[in-house]
Amino acid sequence: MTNDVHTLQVPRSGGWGAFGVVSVAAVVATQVFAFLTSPPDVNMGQLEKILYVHVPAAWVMFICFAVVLVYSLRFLWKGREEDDLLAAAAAEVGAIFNGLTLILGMIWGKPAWGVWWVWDARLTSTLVLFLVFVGYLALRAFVEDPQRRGQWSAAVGILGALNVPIVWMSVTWWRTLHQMPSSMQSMAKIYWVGMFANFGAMVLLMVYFIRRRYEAAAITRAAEHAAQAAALEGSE
Amino acid sequence: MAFRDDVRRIHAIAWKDLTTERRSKAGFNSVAALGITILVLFGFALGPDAQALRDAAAGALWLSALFAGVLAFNRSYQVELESGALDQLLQYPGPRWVIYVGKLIANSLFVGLMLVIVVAVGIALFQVRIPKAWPSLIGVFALGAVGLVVLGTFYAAMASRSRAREVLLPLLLFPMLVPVLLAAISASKALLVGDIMHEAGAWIKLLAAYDLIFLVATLWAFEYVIEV
Amino acid sequence: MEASNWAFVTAAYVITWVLIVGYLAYGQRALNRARAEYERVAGRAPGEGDGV
Repeated sequence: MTNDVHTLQVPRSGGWGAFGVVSVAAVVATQVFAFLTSPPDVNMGQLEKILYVHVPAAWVMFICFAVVLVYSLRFLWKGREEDDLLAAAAAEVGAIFNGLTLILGMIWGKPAWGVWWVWDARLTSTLVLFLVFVGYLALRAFVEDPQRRGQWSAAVGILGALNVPIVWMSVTWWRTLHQMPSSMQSMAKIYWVGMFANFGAMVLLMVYFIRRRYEAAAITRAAEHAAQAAALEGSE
Repeated sequence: MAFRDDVRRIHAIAWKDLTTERRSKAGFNSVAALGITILVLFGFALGPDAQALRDAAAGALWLSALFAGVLAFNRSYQVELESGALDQLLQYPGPRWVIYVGKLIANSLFVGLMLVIVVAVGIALFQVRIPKAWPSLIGVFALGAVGLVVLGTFYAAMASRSRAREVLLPLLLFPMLVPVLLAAISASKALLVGDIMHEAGAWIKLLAAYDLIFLVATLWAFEYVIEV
Repeated sequence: MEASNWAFVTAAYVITWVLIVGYLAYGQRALNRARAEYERVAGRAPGEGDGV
């Protein structure tokens, strides 16, 4: 379970800078596209434009959760540091998209519902998941030893991911068993093209974010390894 | 044959934890007292109107049990940590999950007993009318307590050995317990007023499923967490 | 109704881009710091040659 067997590969930056430019441009382009091609909704006026970021952000957040789950399992299985660092990068990026989903949900909600917050099933579940992510990141911040940090984070990440559907179900039941009406209107098909386009662009951005975060973490760890190796050589 | 050894080890660990607890009587008594104190504070926050208290009773009871119980989980590792006994424990032969199950049993008894006391006091303070379905209510409390103890014992294995353990355990634990709290509080509330809508059954199934899923998951994950 | 909704839409997109650009900047700074630290310790840029 140690990482002595496998040495950490230092990541090369290669063409990732160009990828970053492309992904940001894609997000801009798809947002402009959505603005130009979607007519204002009968009830909500221009408000549905917020959904073009809010909904894809939520979907991207779930992808990040899945990445955390997969790489946490891989880390416990193979013990390679890269997997732990990638899971951590995905968790941080996931928290960002989670936060964005929440903020946009509230901004959409104020004119739509009249209040900044309702205990709507989706919004509430998203808030709980945000707290789960924050717990994961806090754990990493409080544990110094890399091996311990990796294994503990992996366990917390796996359990957290396991809980996602359970949290979603229980909060939804909590709302529907009391016959609360669903607050989120369903959308006409005309909006889905713009929605999926924005989602695609946002996935590119997610990949770039995770890659950059991973690179920084992996290079830092490699530097620590190098410093240790140098110290050991010096003491012989 | 090996299973009998495991059972013996589990019994030894559970017994060790419980006798340590018994010898330091301050432990259980103060946690139970804290549970009651929190309950009283909830009474101040939500009362004094009798109906308001009755409506809030289920929530106040579960939260009081949770806040007091959190202390029990970190403490279950504290004695070993202070005396360095955890490393010694890890050197004995045998699978790691027996340590976990031993602690689960000890913590279940601890939290269960505390829950009994808190509920008894809560019934009085919150003017709860005991419903006809009180056996089901006991079932809800048992399943909910299991959920608390399983995740609490697991996360405490990490939090108790890190910096800022007092904040880290609740920070990790509370969001994970949302389904348990929702299910236990909703089912309790429903049963207390006669469960006209028959919702308690669904919540109880959710509690049982949650307990099973996380018992298995934490049993599997414990060795990764305790070894390192 | 329409006018006030535009304010919310604008706020939403402003916040979105503040977050995106902010996180891009944060990520780039973290990367630069990591690279500098690596060069300081290992004496060469990261990615040249094999991993340490």
